[in-house]
Amino acid sequence: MPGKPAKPRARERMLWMLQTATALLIVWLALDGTGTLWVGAIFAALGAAAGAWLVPGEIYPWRPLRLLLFFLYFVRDSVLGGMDVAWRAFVPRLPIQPSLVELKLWLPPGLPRTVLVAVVSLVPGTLSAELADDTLHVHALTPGAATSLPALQRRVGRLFSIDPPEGS
Amino acid sequence: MSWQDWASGVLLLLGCGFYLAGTLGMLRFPDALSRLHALTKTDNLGLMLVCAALAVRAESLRIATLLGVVWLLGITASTVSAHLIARYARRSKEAEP
Repeated sequence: MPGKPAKPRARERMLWMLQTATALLIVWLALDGTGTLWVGAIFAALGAAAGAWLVPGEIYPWRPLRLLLFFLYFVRDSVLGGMDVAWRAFVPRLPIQPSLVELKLWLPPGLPRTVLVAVVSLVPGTLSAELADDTLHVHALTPGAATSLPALQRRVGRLFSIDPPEGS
Repeated sequence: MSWQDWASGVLLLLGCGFYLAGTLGMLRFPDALSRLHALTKTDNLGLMLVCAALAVRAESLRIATLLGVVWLLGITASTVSAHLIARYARRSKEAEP
C-alpha cells in the first residue's frame, strides 16, 4: 500500500515479546501447573526477551483473533489433507499424478514465510520441496492441488497483518 | 462405559487407521516426494486424533493442554523434516546424469 507510514519497529518488537512470553507461559503451565508459576513467569519473560533481541530482520507480531481463525482453518485442512492422502493410499489404482509447481512468495522472510512453508506440507496435496530466493518449489500430488496456495499465502499474510502486493 | 471412554476409543481407532494409511502410502507411492505426502499428512491427522482421544479422558485441563502442545511439536518436527528430506531428494535427483 503506497503512502503508508513506516511502523515503529520497537513497538512491534515489544508486542512480539509479549506474545511470545504468553505462549511460553502457557507451555510452562501445561508442563508444571500453577505451583511454580513465578519461576515460569520469569523464564518466559527472559526467553521472549532473548528472542526479541536476537531475531534478525523485521519482526511480525500475530493477531490473536486471526490466529484462532487461522488455527481453525488449519485443523480443517489437516483433516481434509489426511483423509485425501489416506484414501489415495488405499485405492488399488493409486490415483496420484505428481508434479512440481512454483509459488512466487511475497511474504517476507522470517516467521511469516516459515509458517507458510511449514503449513504447505500439511494441507491437502502439497509439499514444500525447496525454497530458493523468493520461489517455493511445491510438489503437488494431483494436478489441481496447488491451486489453493495463493489463498493460503494471503491467509498467512492476514495473520501477520501483511498486505498482498497488487495483482496477487 | 462412560461417554468419554466411547469417544476416546473411537478417536484412537481412527487415529491408528490414519497411521496405517500413512504406512501403506509410504510403501505404495512411487517416489520419495510422494511418500513424504503420505507420511506428513496422515501423521498430522493421526497424532491429532490420538491426542484428542487422550485429552477426552484427561483428568485436568492441564493435561489436555499438554497434549495439544505435544501435537503442535510433533507436526512441527514432521513438517520440517519432510521439507529437508524433500529438498535432499530433489537435489540428488537433479544431480543424476
